[in-house]
Amino acid sequence: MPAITAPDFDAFYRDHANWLAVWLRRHARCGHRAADLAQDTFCRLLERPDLSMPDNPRRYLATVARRLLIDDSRRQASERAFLEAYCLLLDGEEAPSPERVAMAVAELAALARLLEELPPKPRRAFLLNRLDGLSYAEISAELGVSVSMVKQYLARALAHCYRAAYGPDAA
Amino acid sequence: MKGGEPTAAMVEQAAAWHVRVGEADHDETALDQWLRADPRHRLAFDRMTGILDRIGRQPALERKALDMMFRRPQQQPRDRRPLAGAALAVLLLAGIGGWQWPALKPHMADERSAVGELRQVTLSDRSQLVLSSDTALDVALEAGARRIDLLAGEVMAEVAPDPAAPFTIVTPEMTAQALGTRYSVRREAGTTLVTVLESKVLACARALANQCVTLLPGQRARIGTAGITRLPDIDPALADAWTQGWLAVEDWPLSDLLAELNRWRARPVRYDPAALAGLRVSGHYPLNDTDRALAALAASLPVMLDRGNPESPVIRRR
Repeated sequence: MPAITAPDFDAFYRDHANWLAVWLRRHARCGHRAADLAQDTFCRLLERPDLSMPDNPRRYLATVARRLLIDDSRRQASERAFLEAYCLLLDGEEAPSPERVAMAVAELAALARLLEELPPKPRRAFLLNRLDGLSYAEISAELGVSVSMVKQYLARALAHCYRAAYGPDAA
Repeated sequence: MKGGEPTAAMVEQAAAWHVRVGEADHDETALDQWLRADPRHRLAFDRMTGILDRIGRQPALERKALDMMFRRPQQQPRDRRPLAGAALAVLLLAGIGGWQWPALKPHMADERSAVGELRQVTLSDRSQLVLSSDTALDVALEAGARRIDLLAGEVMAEVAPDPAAPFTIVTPEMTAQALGTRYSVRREAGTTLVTVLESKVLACARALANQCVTLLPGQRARIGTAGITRLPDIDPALADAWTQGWLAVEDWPLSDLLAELNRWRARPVRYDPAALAGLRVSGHYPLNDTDRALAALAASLPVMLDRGNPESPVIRRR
């Protein structure tokens, strides 16, 4: 397959930019966000290591755009949660610095990616154990399941986090 | 890299080892042997340690944020506004009263049942209550509000309609307000389980004043200090069999069934859940004669009932 040349890319952009903008507006529900993500999507295409045009351009663009949209939603949710936590724990203090927020969002989004696809019960068991330091017996009482089920939940959660971080789909 | 990437099975094993390490009496030598057996074991195990450390070293703000992102049960119904006020009022009243739950309270309860007893009570408003084994509750019927404080055990309520006086069952964890209905409320290890048989119930967590869920027939929710968890739906016909003196189960683990029967037994049957793992049961078991239920289990499953010590019978695998 031939490598991308500048004219190729211009043509590619002309052919698909409008289509992608419409696709993103439908999925992002916010014009500004859709425009930013459209730019990012085309940038990803240029950053690809194999430098060839994708066989099915629109499917490729939609795949990349969907992933960017998910990353973006995760960052937004992380930011919202961090600011809420800040209000709750440090009520009356000055607002956090942009650097502090950016640091928290990066870290929270990374952890959210590990945890988000876990079923609710294993995830709750895992968080009760790791964030609150609850024993297996305490988690069993809290969730109303047996201790051996709690252990299964925890092992499942940990293996899931591992696969999300190191598995074939790891970013 | 020497050894390469851990296989899927090694990842599962490493996770199981991490869970075992969390127990006081884990076998350090066995872990050490496992880690030495293959460099990929150690790689998977160490990477998991890294993930756990990364979560563990988060500052308080990040921990709270993670908690808010994932811990709260999601998707609360939005159509609860008009009703939330009433339940909230009950909550506030309870809060102002500085409610206490001393351990002795069940003994002074208005209504209580002994272990193994199934008791029916008709209230002055003609609502019917069925108390399960070892249950205690207080009743307060007033012109503008009817309130049951469930102190221990489980109660099924068949509510006499009275639009002017909402009917609410209250536990330390939650309030469950009938919207003209039959429903049961059960206390269990620091949580409360609500099951609806007819009509609707508005259940609200007391820890989170604005968190409520509306439950329809067959729907169940468990409410604890961390919030509301919806459980899989249940067949209403099975859910209320106990009020007729039967425990109706479908494809339950045997150990769960024995735990439930023990709630009805003054002399609990002993068993080892691990040894009984994999045995599942369906059927109707008499609650007024749980010895007979145990004999039926021994006759139909690969288990035996050991009555060597009549004070504490034992079920074990044959």
